[in-house]
Amino acid sequence: MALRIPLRAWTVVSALVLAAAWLTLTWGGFVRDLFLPPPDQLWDAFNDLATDGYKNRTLWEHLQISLWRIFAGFVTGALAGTFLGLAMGYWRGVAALASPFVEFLRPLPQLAYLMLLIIWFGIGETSKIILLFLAALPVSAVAARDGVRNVPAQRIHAARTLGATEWQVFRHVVLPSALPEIFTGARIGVGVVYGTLIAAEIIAGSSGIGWMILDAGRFLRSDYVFVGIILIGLMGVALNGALVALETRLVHWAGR
Amino acid sequence: MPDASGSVARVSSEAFVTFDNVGVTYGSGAARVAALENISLSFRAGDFVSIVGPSGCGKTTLMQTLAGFLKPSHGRVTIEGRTVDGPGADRGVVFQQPALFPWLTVAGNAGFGPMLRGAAKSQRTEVVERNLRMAGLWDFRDRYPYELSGGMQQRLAIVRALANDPKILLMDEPFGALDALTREQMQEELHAVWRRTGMTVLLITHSVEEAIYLGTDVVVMSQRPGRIMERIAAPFARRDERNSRAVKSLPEFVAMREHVLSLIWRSGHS
Repeated sequence: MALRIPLRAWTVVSALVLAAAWLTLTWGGFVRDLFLPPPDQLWDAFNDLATDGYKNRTLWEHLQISLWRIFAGFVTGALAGTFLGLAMGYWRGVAALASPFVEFLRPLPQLAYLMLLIIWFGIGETSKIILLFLAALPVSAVAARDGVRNVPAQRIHAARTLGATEWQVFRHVVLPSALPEIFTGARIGVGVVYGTLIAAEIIAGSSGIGWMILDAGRFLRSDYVFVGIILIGLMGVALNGALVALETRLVHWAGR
Repeated sequence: MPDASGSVARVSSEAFVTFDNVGVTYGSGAARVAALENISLSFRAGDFVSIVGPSGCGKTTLMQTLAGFLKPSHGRVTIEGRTVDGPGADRGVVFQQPALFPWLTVAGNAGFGPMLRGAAKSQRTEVVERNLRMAGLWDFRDRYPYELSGGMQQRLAIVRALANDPKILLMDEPFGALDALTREQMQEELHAVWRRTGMTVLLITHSVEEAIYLGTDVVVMSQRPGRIMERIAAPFARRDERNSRAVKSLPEFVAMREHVLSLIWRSGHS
């Protein structure tokens, strides 16, 4: 008989193995602090950053700035993309008009046009938020479009025979039917925006958690780099968790 | 009033639904396929018309022209003298797959039609409660469709269609996906609804037994292109005896079943 180990236990095991390897390598003197700082040094670095901040801004300000950029770029891009995608799914004409741009923009690496945005809009906030907006838009547009196209025809027929007008079909059947795919698009979009943000802060800026990592790296402060990476990672996990929580509440029926 | 015009008026009011030389073809040129040909059929309000035929005979296509999902290539379909031109709330439709709205509760689904009409909330809840109680779904009103069994989902689809008080209920293989026991139970429930409301029903099925047991009229269709082979008046739906096993083993029932089966058999293998 196979021994049944709860899945959660495996997660704990992998975390413990990683922690043990970290402790052995650093405290055992196998690697230099520059390459991999030991836990106590990271903790000190975190305390430093939390109390004194980094280069004229507190750690929380850097985090806040990054979060604000993500929020502004993602929300505007996802909303615009969703509206565009709904229209593309519903009207073939709109799809024909918008598809070339959406399909071209979607696989384009954001860094490819970042320089153009900097030339056009400068190195301030505007170019960064437009960059994130453009990163989020095509993902959401394609998801919403497919969501509309995948509405079962019978569901629409059923609504029509129940007396639904064109607008009611859209409002009460097409929109809720597409919601699960819109959410999937939003989660992919957050990932794209997240990756793009760090790149944007690295290339042009003097604030934000991504910039902090790059700047600390230039001075070989790998302890600050690690703290920054861990914070970014945790922020990402939290963001995704929030979206998943919203999703399970709003589209509880998806996949059933 | 002159007798002549009076009798004309009576005849036209008796024909509740008519298919007037209806034909449906798909595609064009060499790929042209005739799904239905020369369908002329009429029935009166209160009839329960069962349509049987081999797979691919166009039964569903026929229903879709009456539901308004499909415009016939020629001929016309009328209901109460008016030509069908798109779907409408006067014709309730129940599909083989219940096609419920998964984001709405059972009560939300049951009240969908009245909600679209903008019926007052109090009136809506009243209709929903009455219908759900009748269908034995009242205790499940706050559940979601995916929490129901297949039979309950289909019952909810019927309740949803009935909430609009349609003039006719169109059903396309409504019990085809259910297990045998649930299917028989649903047949009884459908029959009870029909007897109680006196509503007109068009039932598409490939169970000959179901067609004869429930229908006042059984229409047998041929292999593609679908034509009407025979229309048979069936007496069993109007009997008060509702012991289904007893009815289904009556000699008259068995004879009619064999007759219809042999018609379908011949059409499918000629």
